[in-house]
Amino acid sequence: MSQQEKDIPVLLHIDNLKTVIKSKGEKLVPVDGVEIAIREKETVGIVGESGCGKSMTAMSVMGLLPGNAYIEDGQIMLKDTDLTKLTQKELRKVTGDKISIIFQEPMTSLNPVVKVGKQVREAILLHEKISKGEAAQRVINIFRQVGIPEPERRYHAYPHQLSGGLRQRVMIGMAMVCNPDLLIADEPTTALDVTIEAQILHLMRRLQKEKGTSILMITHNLGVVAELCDRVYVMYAGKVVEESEVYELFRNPMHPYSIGLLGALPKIDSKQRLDSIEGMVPSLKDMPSGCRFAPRCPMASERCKSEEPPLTDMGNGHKVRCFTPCSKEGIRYGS
Amino acid sequence: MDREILMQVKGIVKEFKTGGGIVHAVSGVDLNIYTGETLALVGESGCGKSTLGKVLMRLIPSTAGEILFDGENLSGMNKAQLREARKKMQLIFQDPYASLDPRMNVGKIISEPLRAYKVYKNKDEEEERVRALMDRVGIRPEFYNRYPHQFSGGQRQRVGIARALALNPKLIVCDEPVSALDVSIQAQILNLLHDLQDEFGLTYLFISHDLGVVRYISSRVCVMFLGRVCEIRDTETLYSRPLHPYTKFLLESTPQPNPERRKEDKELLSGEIPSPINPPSGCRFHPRCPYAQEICKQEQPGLKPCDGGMCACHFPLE
Repeated sequence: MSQQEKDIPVLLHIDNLKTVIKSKGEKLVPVDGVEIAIREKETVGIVGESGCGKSMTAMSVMGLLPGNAYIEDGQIMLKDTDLTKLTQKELRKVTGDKISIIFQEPMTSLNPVVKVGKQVREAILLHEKISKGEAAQRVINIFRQVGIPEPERRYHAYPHQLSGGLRQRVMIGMAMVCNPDLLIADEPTTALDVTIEAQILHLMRRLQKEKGTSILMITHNLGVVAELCDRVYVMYAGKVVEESEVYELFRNPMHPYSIGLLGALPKIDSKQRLDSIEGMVPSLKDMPSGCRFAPRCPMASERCKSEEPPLTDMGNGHKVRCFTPCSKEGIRYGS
Repeated sequence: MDREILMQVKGIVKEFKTGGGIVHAVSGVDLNIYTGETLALVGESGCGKSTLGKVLMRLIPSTAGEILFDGENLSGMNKAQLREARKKMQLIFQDPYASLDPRMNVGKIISEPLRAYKVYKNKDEEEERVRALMDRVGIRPEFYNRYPHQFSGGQRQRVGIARALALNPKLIVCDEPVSALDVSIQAQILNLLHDLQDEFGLTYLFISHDLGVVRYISSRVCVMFLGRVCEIRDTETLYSRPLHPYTKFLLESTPQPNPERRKEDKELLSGEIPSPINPPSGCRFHPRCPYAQEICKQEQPGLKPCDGGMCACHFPLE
């Protein structure tokens, strides 16, 4: 990280976040001591497989946790405000003004019986004291900005009358219309076809440039991370296992899990046999002691099985949670 | 090179009547599947790839066209003949949660095809065969009596694969078999499918929307758009020199796990996938194609030999 980048103020700082779920008398910990910082105008990715805690981290920030889950420890600082200390009402005000979120499946986040234009207009009127007519004009402008063809006509469409790609554009429009400081995108292109996905990623990149919004991109897709993000956090079983600038992570991954994940990915420019990480992600009910990746790690030693490695800075902000950080060449996965 | 044709598909058309009009899901597809190859069917949602897969297995009847499989005409078969032919072709589904009966233990699930065709007279022989299959696909044979809910998604997909292998089929149609799985599990299943093919001389028809997966698993690729074939070519040449503009845009749109390849100004395909109820005239891709000319709007391009394969475009790329 250059000195210049270090000077950019941090917008959101998730510090030692621990989110727990109470289930049938058991206490499960899907997010366990996560630390993530997002600077102004920065696009940060959280990448990991199902159950790694990436979505629960985002939901903790937004105060959208399910009823049986709560934040047990840690801070979520949006500039100078600790979001974990706010009441639900205060949080809603802050997140509504400063943070927006878009989800994987826009159909479930839109009201099916209200015209999409009206839904976006309501979102504006909730936050700003302007007339309905002005708000409607703003909606049509934002629809145009997010590339919805014939915005005046689409204003009056119901969600089911739009394609998946257009619905996601409506969601992005709704998210951007109040000029948030931070946009959280939870798998925003996972349900879309690849040519539409490329359009949406392009749109997000453009809006980010024009408006300077910070983006937190939650995804399982390393391709999406490589296309869009400036920095990346790799999560595994509720922990951040690696943190790095994006070029550095793909060139020089150091955590055995990140290396395995990259090696397991089929690429469109190579037919090389895929690395195969043995076994599967541990269950929340049965977390291994020590390093949580140890049972699947070809490099694991006795120490890894009993002691949890700390997140260690390897220089230039590249951090790894491993006793013996590796290189792509220094590790062998089965196939 | 002379290759043996396992399945020959001629002029397949599949239309569905709906309240909103006729859905032209598949509109005249010709292709050959050669013994021992993996032919991938790729395309975006609504291109007809899954419908075509089902038609080829005769799970649903075609509106028109002919399917020759292993020297026999599937299209003209009666129920009893079809039942015999089906021994030689099996399916693996996308959703390992929905495709296994939750009330049957996995031993029963895997042996069901063996029982349906009365392959073994003796229960012990049957069980021995099932345990061997389990072992081969990487499920511990002592889990014979466990139920699907006791397995993870990856393991369930292995159960589905064991069931598909039970009758020693010639052709396995894999319909998005790894789309529901996480990357690390996906790699295990893809490697398994790869090894099984070598070991048992299987032929795969591999239906997928994921161009990375297709590159890895297939030897030939058939790209579909809105019910028609755009091009069919060897995987390597198709990926390095796409001929059809749609193929080129599919490849360029796929996010690549390499930030060095990031192109902020890459050429994107505009517009959306047209409706199969009212498909565009001429070349169905023309409304989205930046190279489209007048003739593309009027005349449907036929599938013609091109660069060692087939391509349906009036102006194939250089």
